[in-house]
Amino acid sequence: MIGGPTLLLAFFFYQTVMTMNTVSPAVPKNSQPDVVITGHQWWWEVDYPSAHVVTANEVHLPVGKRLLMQMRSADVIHDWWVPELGNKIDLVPNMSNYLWLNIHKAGNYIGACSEFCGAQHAWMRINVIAQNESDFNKWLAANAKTPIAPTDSVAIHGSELFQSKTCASCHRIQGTAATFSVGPDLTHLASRQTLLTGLMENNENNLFKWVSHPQEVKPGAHMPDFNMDKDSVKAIVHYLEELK
Amino acid sequence: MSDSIYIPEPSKSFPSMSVTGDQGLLQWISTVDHKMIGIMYLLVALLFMLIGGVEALLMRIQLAVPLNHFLGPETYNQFFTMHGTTMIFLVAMPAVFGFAVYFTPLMIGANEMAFPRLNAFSLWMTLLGGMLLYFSFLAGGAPDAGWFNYAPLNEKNYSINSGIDYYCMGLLLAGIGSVTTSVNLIVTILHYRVKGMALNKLPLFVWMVFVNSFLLLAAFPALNAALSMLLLDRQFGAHFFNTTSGGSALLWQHLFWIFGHPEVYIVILPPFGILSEVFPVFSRKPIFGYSFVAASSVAIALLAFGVWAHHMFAVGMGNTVDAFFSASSMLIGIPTGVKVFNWIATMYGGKIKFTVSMMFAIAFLIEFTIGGLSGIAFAIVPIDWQLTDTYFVVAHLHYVFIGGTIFGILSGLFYWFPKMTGKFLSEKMGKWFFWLFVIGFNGTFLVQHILGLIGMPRRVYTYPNLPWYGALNMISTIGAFIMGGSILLLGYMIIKSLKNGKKAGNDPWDGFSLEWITTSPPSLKNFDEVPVVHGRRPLWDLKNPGNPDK
Amino acid sequence: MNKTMMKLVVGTEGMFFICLILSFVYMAFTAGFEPHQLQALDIKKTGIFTVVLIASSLTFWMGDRNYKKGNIQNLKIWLVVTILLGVIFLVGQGREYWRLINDHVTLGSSVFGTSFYTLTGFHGFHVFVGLIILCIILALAFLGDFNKGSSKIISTVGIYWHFVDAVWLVVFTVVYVLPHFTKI
Repeated sequence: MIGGPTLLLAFFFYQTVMTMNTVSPAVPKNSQPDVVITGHQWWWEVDYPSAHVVTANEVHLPVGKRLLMQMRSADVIHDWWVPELGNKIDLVPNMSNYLWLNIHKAGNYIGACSEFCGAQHAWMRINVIAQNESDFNKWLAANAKTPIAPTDSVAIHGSELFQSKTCASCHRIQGTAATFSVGPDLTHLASRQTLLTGLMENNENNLFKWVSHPQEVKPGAHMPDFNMDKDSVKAIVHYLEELK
Repeated sequence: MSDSIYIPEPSKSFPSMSVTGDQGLLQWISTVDHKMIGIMYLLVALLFMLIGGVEALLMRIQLAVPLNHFLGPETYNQFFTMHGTTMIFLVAMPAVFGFAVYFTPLMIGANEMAFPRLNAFSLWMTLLGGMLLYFSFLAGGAPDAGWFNYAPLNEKNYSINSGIDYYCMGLLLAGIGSVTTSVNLIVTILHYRVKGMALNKLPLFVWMVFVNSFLLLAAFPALNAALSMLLLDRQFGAHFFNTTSGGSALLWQHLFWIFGHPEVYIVILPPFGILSEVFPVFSRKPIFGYSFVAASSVAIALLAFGVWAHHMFAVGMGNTVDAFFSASSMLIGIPTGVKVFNWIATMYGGKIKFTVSMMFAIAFLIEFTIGGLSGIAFAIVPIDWQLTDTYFVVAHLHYVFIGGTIFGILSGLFYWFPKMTGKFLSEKMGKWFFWLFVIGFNGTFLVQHILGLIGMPRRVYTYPNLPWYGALNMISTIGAFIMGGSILLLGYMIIKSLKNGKKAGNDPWDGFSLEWITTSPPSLKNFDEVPVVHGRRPLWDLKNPGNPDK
Repeated sequence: MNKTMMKLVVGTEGMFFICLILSFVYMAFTAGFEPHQLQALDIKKTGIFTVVLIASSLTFWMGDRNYKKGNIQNLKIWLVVTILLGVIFLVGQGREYWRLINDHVTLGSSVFGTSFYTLTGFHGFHVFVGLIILCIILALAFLGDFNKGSSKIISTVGIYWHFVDAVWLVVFTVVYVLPHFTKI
């Protein structure tokens, strides 16, 4: 009565250890991660250290390569979980965790933060865009570039407002005076498919809604309501949507 | 002028609820009688179950459809935190204590608990802790970091309002109530047993309460330490869990789960004990494998302290540590399996009486086993690495908490209600309640296994319109409302029975243990005379002198 | 019966101190303590006060022995000595705290401060509660409650007082002594 289940459990345990060591082998010291993900309330900072690319929320990864992802947190505990790509792993402040990935097929893979991290935990979703290696390298190169300075008057006005309305004190745009990472990096915002980790599609209308009244779109988010007038918001949005 | 104070002594065993005179409510709030205190524990559990249930229903309305706007995130997060905290600390524990303090003295042939005033103190501390916790709603917001309240989210810089301070203080107070009750129960069981009742002849309910009390005494200090340390962080600038100043987020998790895992065994062992009374009586057979059932509870209590980090498999402790806790978590399934086998073997070959109490006991076997199997699945670390923090966990925990603890308590309620009140709960309505509750419960939580498997994380106030998410959530919400409706039926049944239920005699079920010797309800002094005990079923021996046990 | 109760209380409080001690050790190894913080502790003076606390256990034991032999007068004397020794221990702790605070080691100054004050503070609080209990039984002794000589209360209280001392031995070793011999 006790022997049977014990044998079964022993078998399960053997399988457990084998699978653990296959899926999540120890990370050799001094390994250089391919991607560093830093969790923030409630967005993902994505760093590609070898290419010096920093982006946010949309995670592009090459297919067919064994990747080492380093997981860190800027504030509270978060958790990275893309079910189709493998196990979940916590992002713990003052700790570095690691995730091995080997994606076989190109495509979009969705996931979600899986450790309650505060008010908008529900909208800290994950969108992984897996691309074949050449597409991925193209994307990486494009993201390493500084965006072209705005040329039309509305966008120029928007870029000035971006600095003066204090957007720059939280959001980095490469090539400008905005260098802080309190909020997501916006350097290539226009090239992303969604806004706010999947809450809405990335288009001018939605971005307008967000910039006008963040607390109505994602209540509890750390971006305050700036109560800007419509034209200012339009200009800023126009500028941002040119950042491809 | 008189220099002595008149203290109204109770003259009735079951005082009324009137506010006039000194034999009504005044008796209830000043009593040190273990039976009245037991009933009040059950009333506390009932009150908080209604509140926790409303919180759950409101959450289920919010989750019924994708992208809903019924509750905002701040409100929802407070509700899921309070729902979990309430159900565990203010429903499951008081319910378990209610039956424990009511029936332990009766079943060992004693007239009172060892420390009657301490007993009353414990009850009121529990209620005070609950009220302090709920006061937070009026004081800037309830705690909203989840019932396990992880660091550093629980620190002042991420949770500004005082909800979490109320969480700490409320649980510290309720915890004092729990610890003192456990001390009281152990001393009672060790020193007040009737002659002949050696420890290996204890009724299994009492044995479970006994082991459980040790478990509680060993586990609560970890929670008390964590809560005190968090209060020091939040109020006095200490650095235990504040990661921006050198504190450790993981220290909170270790301390919490060293308490938290034993806690789930604390709320299930007494229901195991209730079942160990109900199965024999309604199968008309002694329990199969008494020693195994008793010994396995000791094994569970000891192993409970060796599995806590299975709640932390995704935290990054390393494969070696994970493997150890995986092994221990698989092991702990074995003693529970032994118990289930023993209960089934008790029924086998017996003359089964399908009272509502027995129906809940049999249903427990199915529901709790489902919950146990999903739990063992989590012991397999790679499975946990996919399913932890998803709705699969929510399904698992409700199958063990409701399917286990609540079904056990309901079985005990229908079994012992006649003894406590002298009236039967309607068996006919009880069967309606049973089926409604079972259908509602399974409707709510069975689909949540699937939701977890298809990727829905837990503790989310809303979710995107992904395939099947909306449909499964809607089914779950409908199930929840059926469950809620059934609880209303239970409330109606209790009130109706108290008013004009069928009268019950001393021994309505032809029972085996000593509580059925005395009147229903027992008079203030439980026993004038108790027979010397020889076997494990003292009342059976009394009623069957030609065929006593062993 | 009361002795069983006290043993259980001691058991659960013992678990509480185990959690605090393990947390202290955990913080020492993860966050790490600065060597200069550990050196700020005065092992010599605190060692003397440790001996004072151990002595109070012995004096209580003397009081209990005398009580069991029926010598109530001696019980009272030994109780007074025990209480005095306990007070001296707390005064010593207070002076250590005062010195450390002036050295800018406080609850909120560092992880070390947090761990140190919490562990020793909870212990000191348990000593303080013990002193209150001792004063109560001293008062009861003077009121004649123990003249009959068959009460278990004295030895029950003894269990608590000895426990408080035993905890201090462990805390002193972990906080003051071990850091001198290991590299934290």
